[in-house]
Amino acid sequence: MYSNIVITRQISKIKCLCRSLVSIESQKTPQSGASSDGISPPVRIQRGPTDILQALSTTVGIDPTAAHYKYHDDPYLIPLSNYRKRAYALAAEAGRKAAIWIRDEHADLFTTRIWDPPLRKKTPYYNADPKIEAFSPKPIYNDESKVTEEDLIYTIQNALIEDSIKVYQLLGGSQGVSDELKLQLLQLLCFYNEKEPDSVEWLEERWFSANTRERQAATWRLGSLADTIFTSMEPKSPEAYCAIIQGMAKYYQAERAYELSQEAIEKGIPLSTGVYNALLGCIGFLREGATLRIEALKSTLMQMNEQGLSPNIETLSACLRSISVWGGGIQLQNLAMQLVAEFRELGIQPGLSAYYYLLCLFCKERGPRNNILSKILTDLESRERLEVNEPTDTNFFITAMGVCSDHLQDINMAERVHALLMKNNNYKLVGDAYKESIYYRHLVTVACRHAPFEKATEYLDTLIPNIYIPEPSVMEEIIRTLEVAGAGDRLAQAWSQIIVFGHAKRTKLVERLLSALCNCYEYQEEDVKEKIRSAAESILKHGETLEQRDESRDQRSPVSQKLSATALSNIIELLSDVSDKSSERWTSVETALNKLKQEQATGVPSKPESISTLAEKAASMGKLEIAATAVAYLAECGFEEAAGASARVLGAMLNRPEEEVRALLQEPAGALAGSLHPAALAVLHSYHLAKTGTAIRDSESSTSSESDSESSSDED
Amino acid sequence: MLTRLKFRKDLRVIARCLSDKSKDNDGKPQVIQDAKKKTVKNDPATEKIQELLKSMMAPPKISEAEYREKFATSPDTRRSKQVDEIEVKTEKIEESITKAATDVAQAIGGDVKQTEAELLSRVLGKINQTSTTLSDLLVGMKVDRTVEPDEVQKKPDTREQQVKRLVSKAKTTEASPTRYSQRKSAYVPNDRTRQGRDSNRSGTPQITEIDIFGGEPLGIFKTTEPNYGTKLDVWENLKKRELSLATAQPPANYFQKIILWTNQGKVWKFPIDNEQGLEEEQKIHFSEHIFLDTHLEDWCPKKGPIRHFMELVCVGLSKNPFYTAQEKKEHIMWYKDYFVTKKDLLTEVGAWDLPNSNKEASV
Repeated sequence: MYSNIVITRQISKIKCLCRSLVSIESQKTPQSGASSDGISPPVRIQRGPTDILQALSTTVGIDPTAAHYKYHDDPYLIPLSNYRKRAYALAAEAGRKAAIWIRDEHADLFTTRIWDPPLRKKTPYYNADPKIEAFSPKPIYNDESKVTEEDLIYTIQNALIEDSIKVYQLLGGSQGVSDELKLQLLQLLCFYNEKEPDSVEWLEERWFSANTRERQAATWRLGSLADTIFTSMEPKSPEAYCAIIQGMAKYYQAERAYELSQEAIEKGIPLSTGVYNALLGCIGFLREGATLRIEALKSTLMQMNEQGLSPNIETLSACLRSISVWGGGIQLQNLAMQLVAEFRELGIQPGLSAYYYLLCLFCKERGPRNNILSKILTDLESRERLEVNEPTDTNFFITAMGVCSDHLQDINMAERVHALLMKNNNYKLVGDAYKESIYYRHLVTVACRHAPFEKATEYLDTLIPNIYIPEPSVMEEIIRTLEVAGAGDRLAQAWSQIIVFGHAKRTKLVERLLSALCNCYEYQEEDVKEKIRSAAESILKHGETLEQRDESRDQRSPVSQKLSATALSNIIELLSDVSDKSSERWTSVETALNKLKQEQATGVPSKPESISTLAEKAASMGKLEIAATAVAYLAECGFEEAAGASARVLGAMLNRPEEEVRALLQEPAGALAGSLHPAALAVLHSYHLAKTGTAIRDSESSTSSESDSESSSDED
Repeated sequence: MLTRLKFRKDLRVIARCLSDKSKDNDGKPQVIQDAKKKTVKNDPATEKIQELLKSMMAPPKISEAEYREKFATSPDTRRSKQVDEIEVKTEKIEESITKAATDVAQAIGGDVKQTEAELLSRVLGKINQTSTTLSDLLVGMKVDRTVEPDEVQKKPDTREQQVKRLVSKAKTTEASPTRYSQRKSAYVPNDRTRQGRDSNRSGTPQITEIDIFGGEPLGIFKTTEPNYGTKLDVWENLKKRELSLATAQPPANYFQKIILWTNQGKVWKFPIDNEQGLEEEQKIHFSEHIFLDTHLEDWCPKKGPIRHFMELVCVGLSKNPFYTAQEKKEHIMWYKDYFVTKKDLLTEVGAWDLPNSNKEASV
């Protein structure tokens, strides 16, 4: 029966009907407004493939307590120092890179495309549709490859400079390639000055590569392929002129670019706004002196107007970029303001790059302070969203924060800048890891120096360690802030942070921390004091492990510097504050003291009184050896405290009033030798050493060394 | 400390002597006094000089001959010879100067040695009153012999002195009161920061008002229809590429990662659609996938088992989502070829349509 119904004509009719139905359906758009039955379906909103994902990702806020997403795979290995963060992220990417390298090198092994789900294969040798370009091997071009113009188009579109040059040569150079393709290649070569650009694929590499500021020097490659292609093109199209002039001006080959532009104007070839933007950017290379340069800038703008070209936002930033590198001075500043006004009249608001150059021009670190940042921020805050127009836009936030920290020294302004960066999607303007860390360095510095303590700690708590790891200089700033505020608890924590951030080898920082700990110590609660003491002990132990490591490595010059005597005496001061004779701290005190005694520390303690206090305390607690060593050290160093301290220590040891001890001390040393405890004897020697000074020391030295050995044997 | 004091005293004495005696020596005393001030200021510097001078004066520990015996030495080069020549020359000059000074002194009369020394010091820029040889000049000038006994004794224990020097150095460098003492005097943390800030601020001038938008327009451009001139496609694309690279960040959450992968074309695009990537196939109307009977018309019998079979094939194919329309057609054509080659046999068996149609015709 089926066969009976089916007739050719009928089928074609049905087909026709179906087609028209479908086309009607697809053309029909829902009408907005109320329909007759009161039901009005909303208008369909066309959404791109990532719109929903973007909406979802905005629901995930920033969590300062969590490590960055790229590190969260392995909670045990979450990196907490700048070095490790970098190493981990790059290591992960290096793995991906290695995989891609293998795929490209052995492209023949990766030709099969997999079905998803895998059971739905139609035939074993058929490949899945669609073909995913990202997963297929990239072509490798060498001298043997057979290439077509397709390959040239592919390489140009993917900005593969070296490959495109290779393909161009394989195609037979200027004869074998069509004019249109040559023009495209010319643009590519001019844009990158024949240098392979960063790959889009390797985000982490770009993120961590410290892209320093672009060098302002003529780096254009003379006589390169771009030049050759340009000369070989006949007749030369306007596009070719534009491309080569823009390229030359971009890489500061200013004079030739200028000549070519004049040539083009004479020939009546229409140039473009882009060309003039590029020319404006390198005016400083054509003229010397501010006045001449300003004149040239104005005349170029005038010429642009004569050509009937309208300026755009990049014209403004190109002008300001030029001006900002010509130095300072009221003349240039006035010109900059005139330019801004001119462009605003044309309806062109300055972009972030323009503001960045204005900040460079107006806010010199030592110059008079002005309020342009606040004006700029007011303008930016009033905008709905910040448009990104140029790659230099990423310099704005770090410069603005730098101005807040060095120029204005104003925490409120810094907060405004930070709020703007956190608004909407603006965080992408932070640039790369290098810029980000400079940005936060400025923020933390200004917060530490100029914010009230509560606010400063709030910043420290949110930013550190997951968003930002302070560099040693910033860490010092933080320690200073904590010290001034007397936050002993946080200072004790700072030591563990220093270890985690990998700064523990920086002796200067550790010494700074120790003195801060000492200065705060007496105002703290008992439990905080205990924390500080354990931090000090940990510092001492850390120093020892470092020394052991150096020794085991058998290096000629030890990597780690030793703690100074002042630092050691600080440790001693902190650790000796125990009321318990059997406390384990005493062993640490003894280690530190021995280090001092054996001249393992550089310099001398700046506060010898702390050691004499220790000596008296140790004597009263019955730690005679420690007391003797301390006094001996004081005497050896010739501190004025030595004599008094040894008398008092002896008094405590012998449990007699001070006058009696003084009388005892007047007797010749030899007479008492037999009757006294070895430690007391050592103290006695120290007293004489301190009293008699340099002249008799010679004769005493043998006995004092004896007493040293005695005391050390006692310890055993 | 002691040594330095002595040294200072010496200098003062010398300076006074000179200023008394040689008033006709214009400008000299001031120079010396200046020098004195300088030396007093730069204590570590003078110490260094002293040490250097001492090492100059000290006899070499090993004589050169001994040294040569013990160690391999490089042969004398021409350069060292030149140096020798210069040395010899200077020595000669020195000798002649000394001689001339002696002559003059004798001619003048009076305290011959004194005059000679003064003259020499004038020439060589050194001061010494009693002796005339260069080495004595140097020693008298800089080195305190009093230090030497200590060294002669070879006593390593100069620790006390080291310590004192260190302490005094620390005191001079740490002119400002330490934080410790500051804290001792007052313990008001937040006020201190504010004070510090205020004092900081008072040091720098007040903020000047600059109205960044208040400039006078240059008046070069007129608002007209925008005309950006010649367009460069590849250049624009590359600019966009650089821009996206400059603002690209490693994904901060799973959704951003998926966005990245979507843009790289590694995952399905939203909304999920199983015809993604089959853009070629979308140009073909769905009816061509479903109504496949057209491909049977010109060869297949109208009735009978073959027709029945082929219609089933068509139904099956029309429901197959994996074949393209072209593949479906090829599939049918394969059957066509197969049946056409077997046509004789099929006709014989009566499966081909001819007998049926005959019957129909006869009916």
